[in-house]
Amino acid sequence: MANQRMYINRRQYLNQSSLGFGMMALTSLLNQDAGAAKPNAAGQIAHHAAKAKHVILCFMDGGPSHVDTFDPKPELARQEGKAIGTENVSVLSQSVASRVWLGARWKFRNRGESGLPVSDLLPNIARHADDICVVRSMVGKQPLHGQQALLMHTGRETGRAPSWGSWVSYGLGTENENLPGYVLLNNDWIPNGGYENFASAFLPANNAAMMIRAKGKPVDNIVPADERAIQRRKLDLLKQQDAAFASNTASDIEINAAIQNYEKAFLMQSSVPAIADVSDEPEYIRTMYGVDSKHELQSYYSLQCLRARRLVERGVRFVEITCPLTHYNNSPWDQHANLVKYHNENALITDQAVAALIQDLKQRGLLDETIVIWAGEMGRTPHTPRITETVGRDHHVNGYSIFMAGGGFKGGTAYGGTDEFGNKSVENPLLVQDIHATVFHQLGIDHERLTYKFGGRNVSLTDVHGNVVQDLLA
Amino acid sequence: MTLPLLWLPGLVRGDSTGEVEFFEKKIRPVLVRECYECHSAAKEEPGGGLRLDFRDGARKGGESGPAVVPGDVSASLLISAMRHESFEMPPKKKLDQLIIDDFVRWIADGAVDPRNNPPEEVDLASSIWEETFNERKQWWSFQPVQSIDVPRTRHAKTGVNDIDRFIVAQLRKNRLLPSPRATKEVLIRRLAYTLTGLPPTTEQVDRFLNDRSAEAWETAIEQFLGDQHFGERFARHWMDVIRYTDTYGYEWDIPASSAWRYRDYLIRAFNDDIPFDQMVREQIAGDLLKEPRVNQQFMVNESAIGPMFYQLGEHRHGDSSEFEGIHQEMLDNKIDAFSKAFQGITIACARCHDHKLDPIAQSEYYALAGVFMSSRWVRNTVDLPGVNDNPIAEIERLKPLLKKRMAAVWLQDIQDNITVESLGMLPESPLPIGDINYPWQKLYKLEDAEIPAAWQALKESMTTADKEAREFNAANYKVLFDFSNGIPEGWDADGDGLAKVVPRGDFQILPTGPQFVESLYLPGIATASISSRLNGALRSPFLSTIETVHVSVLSAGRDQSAFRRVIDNAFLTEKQTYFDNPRYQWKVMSTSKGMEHRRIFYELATKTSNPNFPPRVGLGKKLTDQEMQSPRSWFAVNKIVGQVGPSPPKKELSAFLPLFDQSVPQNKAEAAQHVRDWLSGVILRWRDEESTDDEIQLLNNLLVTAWISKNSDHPEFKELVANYRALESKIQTPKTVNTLEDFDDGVNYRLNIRGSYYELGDAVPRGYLRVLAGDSEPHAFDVNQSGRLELAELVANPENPLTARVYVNRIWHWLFGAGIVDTPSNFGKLGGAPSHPELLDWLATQFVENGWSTKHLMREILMSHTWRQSGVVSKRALDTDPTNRLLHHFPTQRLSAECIGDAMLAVSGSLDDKLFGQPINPYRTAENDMKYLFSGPVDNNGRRMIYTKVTIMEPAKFLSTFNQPDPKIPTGRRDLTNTPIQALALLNDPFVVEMANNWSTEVTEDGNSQPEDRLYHMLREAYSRDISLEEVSKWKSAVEDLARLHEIPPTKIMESQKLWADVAHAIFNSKEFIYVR
Repeated sequence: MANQRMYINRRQYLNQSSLGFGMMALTSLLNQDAGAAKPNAAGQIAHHAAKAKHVILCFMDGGPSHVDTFDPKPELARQEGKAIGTENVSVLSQSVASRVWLGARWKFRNRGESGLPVSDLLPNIARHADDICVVRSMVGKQPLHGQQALLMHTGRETGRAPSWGSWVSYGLGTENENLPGYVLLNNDWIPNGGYENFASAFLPANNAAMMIRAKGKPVDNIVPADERAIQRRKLDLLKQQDAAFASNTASDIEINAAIQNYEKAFLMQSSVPAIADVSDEPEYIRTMYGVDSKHELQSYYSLQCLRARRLVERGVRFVEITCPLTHYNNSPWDQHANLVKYHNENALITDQAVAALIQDLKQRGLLDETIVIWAGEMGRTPHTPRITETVGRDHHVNGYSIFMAGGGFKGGTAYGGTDEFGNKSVENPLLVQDIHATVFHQLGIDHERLTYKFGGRNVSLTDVHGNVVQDLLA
Repeated sequence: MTLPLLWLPGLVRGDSTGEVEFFEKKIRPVLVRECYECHSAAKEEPGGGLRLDFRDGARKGGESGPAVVPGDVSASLLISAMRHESFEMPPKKKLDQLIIDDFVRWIADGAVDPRNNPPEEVDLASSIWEETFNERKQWWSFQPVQSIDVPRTRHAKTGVNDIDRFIVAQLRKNRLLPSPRATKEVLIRRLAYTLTGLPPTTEQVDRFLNDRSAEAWETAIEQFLGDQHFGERFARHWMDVIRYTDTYGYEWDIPASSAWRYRDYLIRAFNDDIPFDQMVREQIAGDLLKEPRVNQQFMVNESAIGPMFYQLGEHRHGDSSEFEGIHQEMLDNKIDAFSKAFQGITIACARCHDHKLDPIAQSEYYALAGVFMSSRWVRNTVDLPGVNDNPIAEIERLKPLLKKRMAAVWLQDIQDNITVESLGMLPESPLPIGDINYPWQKLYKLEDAEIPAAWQALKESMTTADKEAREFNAANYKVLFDFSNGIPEGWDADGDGLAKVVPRGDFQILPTGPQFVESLYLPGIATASISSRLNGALRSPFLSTIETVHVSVLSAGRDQSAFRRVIDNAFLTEKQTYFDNPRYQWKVMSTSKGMEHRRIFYELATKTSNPNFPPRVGLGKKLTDQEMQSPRSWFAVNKIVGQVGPSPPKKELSAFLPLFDQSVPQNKAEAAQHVRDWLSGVILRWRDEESTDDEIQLLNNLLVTAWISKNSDHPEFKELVANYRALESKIQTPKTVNTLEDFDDGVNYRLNIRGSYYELGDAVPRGYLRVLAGDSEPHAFDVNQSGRLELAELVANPENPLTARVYVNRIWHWLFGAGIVDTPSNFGKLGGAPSHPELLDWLATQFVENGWSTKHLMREILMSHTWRQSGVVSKRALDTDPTNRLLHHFPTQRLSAECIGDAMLAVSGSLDDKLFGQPINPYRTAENDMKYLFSGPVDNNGRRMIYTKVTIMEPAKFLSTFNQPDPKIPTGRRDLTNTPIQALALLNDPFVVEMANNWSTEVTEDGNSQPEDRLYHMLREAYSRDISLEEVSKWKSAVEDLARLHEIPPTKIMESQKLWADVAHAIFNSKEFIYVR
C-alpha cells in the first residue's frame, strides 16, 4: 500500500538521514541530558584560554567573623566597649546605635614571606598565607542567611536559578564520563536556602550536584540493589525489551537516551564508591588531612576534603564541601553567642583539612589548575549588644572576607578594605558576582556569554552584575 | 524606493490639518515610544545633547547637527540614524520599514510639528508610558477572544469532530495528514494515565477491548472522568501551577501545616467539576463570596479554603521591622503566583520598573500589592457553623450540675480542711500580700493573746494596700478593651472557641488527668470553656490606633496557645510567645512606637488558629511530636489596659476585705473560723453567680492549695466528669487554613521606587491591570475593603482576554503534554506563539459557553481523532514539523514523577487508594529535626504520591529526580529530563526495591504452575497490552538465567520470592513501563 511508506518510524528515518543526526545525538548522550532542547554548551565555552580546570568551594556556612580571621582592626580593639553611634548603623548589618565595638578574640600575625595577616584562629591555613588571595571587601545584599547563601550559590537572593557549580558543569562538561561535573560533599547539613543552593534549576538536570555524604551511605542509590551478575542479566534483558519498545514509538531518540543512561549508571555504581573510598590513601596523607581525628566532625570534614582532591584529580569540575553543624544552631558558623567557643570548634573541624587540601593539591601540581575558595555567605558584626562571657557577633554583609587559592589567583595578597572598624567596605568593594565572573574567567568562561535561554531570556549566573577583577590574578 | 501610501482616511497632502493629524498618528507615538527614553526631558542628560520631545529640539538637534531639517530628508540625521546609516537608532533595534517611510514622508512634507514648547517632565513620563502601553496592548493575547467558525474540511468522516477540523486544516496547509487511530490497547492505557494518573486495571482494559459498540470510547471516557482518582490527577497538575507546598522553605522550612486541606479541596473540586470561574472566584476571594459553596458531607465551607493558594510557596520568617523586605518578598510571591496561574502573565516583572515587554505599568504592580496587603494574612476556620452543636449543647447542660456539686463539696472541704492545725503547717517562706494564705501566715505563730492586735494591724495594712493599688491603678491605667461583655469593636474573631462570651466563674473541665479543674474564668473570652479542642483567633485593631506606648493584657492560657504581634502581615513572626499559665496574669506588651507607619496587630490564637504553628525550632520551647499533633490549646482574656510605663497594674485586694468585716477574733480558733467563713462566703457567691473579678482570682488561688478537692475520681464528681469527657471526645478538631481575610479598611500601597523598599513613592490606588479590565484609564477599585472580590470578578470574567484562554490551554497541555501555547504560564511577549490561535479561541468560547466545565471540555478533546491518533510519524511530518506543533501524531511521553510511583504502587498491589488527609513524610536517608525534615515510610504508606509531603528545603528525592518541580514558584510546564541519576533511582532506590518485593509476594501466590503464565500476566498488567509468546519466552530465558545465578533449582522457581522480585524489578525498569504511547 502506498500509504504504508509514509509511516516509517523515526529510527529508520534517522538512520537514513544524510545528516547522520542519529549518531550525533547518541554520541552526546553520555554527557548531556537528551531530554533538553538545548544543545550542549560546548559551543559557548572556550571563550578564551583557561588557566584553571576545577573549583573547590569550601563553604563556611553561617558566616565566619572577618575581624577574627583575615581583617585585622587594631582600632576596633582600642574602641572596644564604646557605642558605635548612629553613623555606624546600616541595613547591611544587624545594628543599632547602642551596640558596642568588640575587638578581635584572636591574635593576628603577619605570615609567610608576604606578611599577610591571618589570626590564630586558623593556624594551619595561616601557613599557606603565601598561597591565598584574600578579599576583604565583599558586600552582600541583606544580612540574612537564606538570601546570602542563595546569592552566593546562584547569583540571586531568591534562588530560582542554577547553582554556580551547575553553571560550571554545564559550561565545561565533565572530563570523566563516569562522574558528574558537580559534586557536593555534604556533611549531613543543608544550608539555609535549602537544597536549591546546589540545584540545576532550569539547566539540564545532569548539572545538579551529586551529593556524597560524610557518613552512612555515601550516595543515594549508588549501591547496587543486586549482585553484579544479576544486575547485568537484567540490564541485558532490558536492552532487548527496550529496543523493541523504542522502535515502536515516535520518541526513540529519547528512549534510546534513557537506555544509554543505564549503561552510565551501571558504571557509576563502581566509579563513585571508588572515589569516595579513601582506604587506598597512604597513612601520611590521611594524617595530614585529619581523617582519623577523634573529633568525629573533624574526621568527617577531613574525609570530605580528601575526597575533594580525589574528585578533581579524576576530572570533576566543581566540588563543594559544606560544614557540619557543631551544636543546636541555625548554621555552623552562626555565632550570635559563644563566639570564642564555637568559632574555635569550627576552626578545629575545618582549618587543618583545608590547609591540607591546599598543600596536597600543590604537591601534586594540581593547585595551578584548581581554584580553592574559602567563603561564608556573610561576615559578622564588629559590634555586639553587650560584652559578656558568651559574647557573639551578628549578621554583617558590608565588607567581609573570603579567600581564593590556586588557579592563577595571586597568593599572599589582600584585596579591598573595610573602614577602621571592619564595619563597612570602603576600598574596592566587590560583589559575589565579581567573584563568579573572575573564577569563570580563570576557567576560560566569559560570564556574560555563558547563558541559557529560559523564560524567553538569555539568563546568566551573574545577570547584569559582575566584573573580572584582574587585580586578584597573578 | 516605494512611496509611502496614504492610507489615513480623509488625509490630503498639503492640508495642514491633515499634516498635524499625520504627525499625531504616525510620528508622535513612535517618537515617544522609541526615542523619548533617551532624547527628552525624561533623561537628565539627553543622549548626544539631542532632544526630540519638542519641535525646536528636533530641529536644532544635538552635538552632531540637526535631526530634522524640514523638506530635506538627506540632511535629517534622524532618518539616517533610523536607517542605521549614521547612528544606529533605536540601539540594537531597527524600526519597521513602514515606520521609517512615514518619517521620510513627514520630513519631505515639511515636518509639521505642533509641539511648540518643551514638555513638563511628569507629563512626559506618562505620555511615554501611554504610547508604549498602546503599542503593547496590541499583542495577540490581550485581544478579546474571537468568535471563530469551525473550518470546513472536505470528506468529513465519522470520528472527526470540530477540534479535528482545526487541526487537519493546519496540517493540510503544510501538506500533512494526521496519524491513523491508535490501537485500542494503546488508547485505554493512554486514557487511564491521562485522566487518573494510574494504569488501567486488567478489568478496565478487557471491558474496553471487548466493547464492540459504537459508544465504547465514550463509555471509557465517562468511566475515567467519573473515577475518584481523576481529581487527584488534575489537582496535582494545578498544584504545579499554584506552587503547592507543605512547608515554607527559606531558613527553617516551617510547616505550612494546613496546606493539605487546600490540596483536598482541589481534589474534590476537580472530581465535582466545579466550574472554573467558580474556582477562580474561590481561590482569589472565596472568603468573601456572598453565597459560598458548602460541602455538607465534609461539613466545610469549600469556598473559604480557596484563598489558601495565596499562602503557599516560599514564605519567610521574621518581619520587616527586623529586616526590611520580609513581607515584600512574601507579597511578591503572591503576586507572581496569582498572575502566572490565573492570567498567564508575569506581573512580578513590574516590581522595579514598568514591565519591559508587556503592557503592565509598575504602578499596577503596586495597585495589586495594595489589594493583597489590605487583607490580613491569617488562619481561619472553614468548618460549617454548627459542626459541634450537639456535644456543645449537652456540655452546656452538664456544667451547671457539676458546678453545683463543686460548690457543695468545696464548702464542706473548707469546713473540714481549714483548721488551726492545718493552717499551722503552711510553709515558712513569706508569702506575697495577695496570696490567699497571706493573712494566716501573719497570725499562726502568735499566741492567742496577740491575735486581736495583729488582726487589727493586718486589717489596716491590707485595706491600705488595696486602697493604694486601687488609686494607683485608676490614675495610671485606662481600660482600652473590655471583653467582659463580648468582643470589643474593632476586634476580629474567628473560631468556635470564641462563639460565646463566658460568664464570670465559668471554668474548663480538663479532658484528661487526675484533676478535672485548674482555674476559673474571668468574664470574657475563654476558648476552652466547652473544650480545649475548640479554636480561636482574636485579632486586635491596628496598634497605631492605640495611644499608649504599652498595654497590659489580663490573660491566661495553656498548651502553646500563642500571643503574637504581626507586623505588616508577616505571619511567620518571631514576635510570638506561648501562654503558659492557667491563672490570669498581666502580660505587658508594647504597641507600635517608632513603627507607626506599619500595620501591626496583636493576635491571640490557639494552636489550630495560628498560621505559625508549629513555629520554627527555637522559637518557644522545643515541642514533642505529641504537642505538635494535639489540637488542644486555649487562652482566655478579660481586658486590656493602656499605660505609660512597662509595669502592669498593681494587685487589688478587695476580695480579702470581707475577712476583716467580721468581728475581731480573740484567739486563733476564732481567726480560723473567720477564714472558713470568709472563704465559704466566696464559694457561695461563686455558686450563686455573685462573684467579683477579684474573688475569681482568689478562688484560682484557692484551687492551687490543697484545701479543696479537684480529683476526677471524687465520688461526687466522677460520673459527671466521665460524662463530660465522653461528650468532649465527640468535638471535632477544627478545620482551619492559612488564608486572607478582609477585616479592615483597605490601604493603598506605596510604590517602591526602582523596587527598593527604602525609597517610597506615592500610594497607588488599589486596582487591576487596565489591559485586562478593558479600561483606557488605570483601573482602580472604588471600595473600602481590599478589592479582592472585585479582582475575582475581573478575572472570572468571560470578557477577560486571558482567563479562559490560559486555562483551556492548560487543559490541552495536560492532555497532550504540550499546549497550543507551549509556555502555559506566559502568554506575554516572551511566551510562545499559539500553534493554533483560532482553535484556542474556539475552545475558550466553547468552554465559557458550557459553563466553564473542565470535564466537558476534556470530553470534546478526548473524543477528537487528534487525541486518538497513534504515535506513528512520517518522514515528511518530521521534516516539516519536527517538534510536532501541528499534532501530526500523538507524542510518546514519560510518566510524571508521581505517576511512576503510583504505577508501581498499583501494579505491585501496594496501593491504598483512599483519598485525602495529612501529608506523609517522604523517605529520607538522614533526618534533621531542626528543620522538621523527618523520614517517612519507604512505601509512602501505600498512598499516592500526591500525598507525599512537599518540603521546599529538601524535596522528596525520588520525586524530584523525576522532575516534580521546585514549589517556591509556579510551574506551568514541567521539565522532563533524562539522566543517569534516574536510572540509578529505578535500579537501586529502596522504594522501587520494596515495590518489586511486594509484587513478588503477590505473584508467588497466584497459583500458576508455569513461569510463562505468570510472566504473561505480569507483563500484561504492567503494559496493559497483549503479550506475544516470543516476548514471554525472552523473559522466561532471563528467568532461567537468573535462577541459575541465584542457584535456585528449577523446581523452586515458581516459589522463589527473590526471583520474582527480580522480574518485577526488571519490569519497573523497562522503558515501556514509564512511557505512555
